[in-house]
Amino acid sequence: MESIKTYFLLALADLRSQMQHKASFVLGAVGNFCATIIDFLGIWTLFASFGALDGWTLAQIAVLYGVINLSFSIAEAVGRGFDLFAGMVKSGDFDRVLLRLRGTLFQVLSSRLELTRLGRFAQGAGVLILGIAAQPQGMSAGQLGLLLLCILGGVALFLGLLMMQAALCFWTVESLEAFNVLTYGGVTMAGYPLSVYRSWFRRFFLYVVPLGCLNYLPAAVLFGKDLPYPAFTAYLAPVAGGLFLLLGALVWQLGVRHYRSAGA
Amino acid sequence: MRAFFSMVKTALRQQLQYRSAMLAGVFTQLVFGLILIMVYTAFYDNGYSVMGGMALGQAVSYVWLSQGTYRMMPWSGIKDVEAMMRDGRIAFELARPLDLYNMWFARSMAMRTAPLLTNLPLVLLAACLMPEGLRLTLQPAWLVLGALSLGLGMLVSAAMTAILTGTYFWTISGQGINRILPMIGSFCAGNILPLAFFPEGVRFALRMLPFASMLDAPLRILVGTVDVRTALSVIGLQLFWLAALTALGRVVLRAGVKKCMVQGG
Repeated sequence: MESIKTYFLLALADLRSQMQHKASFVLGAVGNFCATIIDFLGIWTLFASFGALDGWTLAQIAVLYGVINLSFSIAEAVGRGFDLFAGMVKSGDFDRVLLRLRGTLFQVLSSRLELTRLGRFAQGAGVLILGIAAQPQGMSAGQLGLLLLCILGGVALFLGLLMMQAALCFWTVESLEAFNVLTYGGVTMAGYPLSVYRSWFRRFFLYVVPLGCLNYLPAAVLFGKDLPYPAFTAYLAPVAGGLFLLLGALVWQLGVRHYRSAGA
Repeated sequence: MRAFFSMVKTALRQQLQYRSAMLAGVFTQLVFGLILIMVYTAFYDNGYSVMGGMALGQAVSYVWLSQGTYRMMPWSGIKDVEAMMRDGRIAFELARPLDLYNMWFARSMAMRTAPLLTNLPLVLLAACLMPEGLRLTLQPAWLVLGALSLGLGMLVSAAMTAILTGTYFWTISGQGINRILPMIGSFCAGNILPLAFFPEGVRFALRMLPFASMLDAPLRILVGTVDVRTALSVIGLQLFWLAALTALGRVVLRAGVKKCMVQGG
């Protein structure tokens, strides 16, 4: 409980410092919004020209897209500290973190709350709401609850990924960009139904990095698509997310134990 | 010209210092390419053999080429100049015995060429080795005109980079408009999805804009969706935009230099 209070204390302090440069923050958020809405503009264009995708309508894709983008934007905003972690290792600031009494994960997490990611959040939320509103049969409260669970699971999964990416810094601070394939690439990938991909690709995103559990499986069940998997898999998002977050934390602890300061 | 080649050499050497970052970039582009190709294939499977004059196989090649030339797009102005504006080193830049525009144009060109020399061959090589249906195929007949158009595309992109660099005279932080414009530009250039996929009127308008001259023009020639006459008119349009953007860049720079004030010290 007390850690939660401390987290907000630290995060709010960081926010106040970001708000010292209001114009920069507003431009950052607007830029983030524009950069991400362009992706959906592309999808919309594709539907305008081709009509449908593997039996999915634009409104159904909007739900897929909204869930994954909301998940990622929240994880990105909260977990920005992990994104900036390479700098912390390079500058030697991590030594100071090790000296403090709080856990390392907690300190890195609370070092930054990146609100410019509101841009992606806003566009993801907008697309999701439009998608839900455009469903011909409407959606029940239970179905909306399921989507909310999926988003929470997604936040956990992406946070786990960000932790792993940051933990790599304990071994190397180079070529971390390759991990973007799983985060940014994953968001792009999961914006479309998993069924359009080849089986090896599909298996990777179901069994190795289970992004498919976050939005494809639940949406496929909601929209009554033929699935080669049992219906309970629609509810796996929180489980997959939780397990992945745990895995990320484990990799992180392993990394911390491996850390040798350069003695700066 | 000599100055240009030495700039390309420096940029290339810089580029090769970060080999693992470069390979990570190539890997990322390959994965994004695969995702897009599988998605487009599913869209074509909806009962289309051609969309906007582009067959599926050509769309696949288009995706690979646009991934391979990803870093050719004017994502920002010259980063060094942005720093110079802030710390005043711009004074030295203005004092060099070279025409400012020519120098920045050459540097922009070097900045856009160097990553291409490393990334493009690697992406294309990997794309040629992909399994059936995901593989890049090029028509040799279009290589000469396509390469010419690609070269022009890079010049147009460099002219755009020079203009973006010129705007640093007014905005010293690379945030905001300098971040958003390249995004919109790359969308209009066909980097997010092939321009052939847009509805006819929009497609025509987008192809008239300067952005299409950077990417869509060479790519549609290289994948063979045009006849020789169209190809030549596309190249003509590229020449026009190159001239227009160069002129605009000179005006922007002249205005910028005029209002630029370096605090002594």
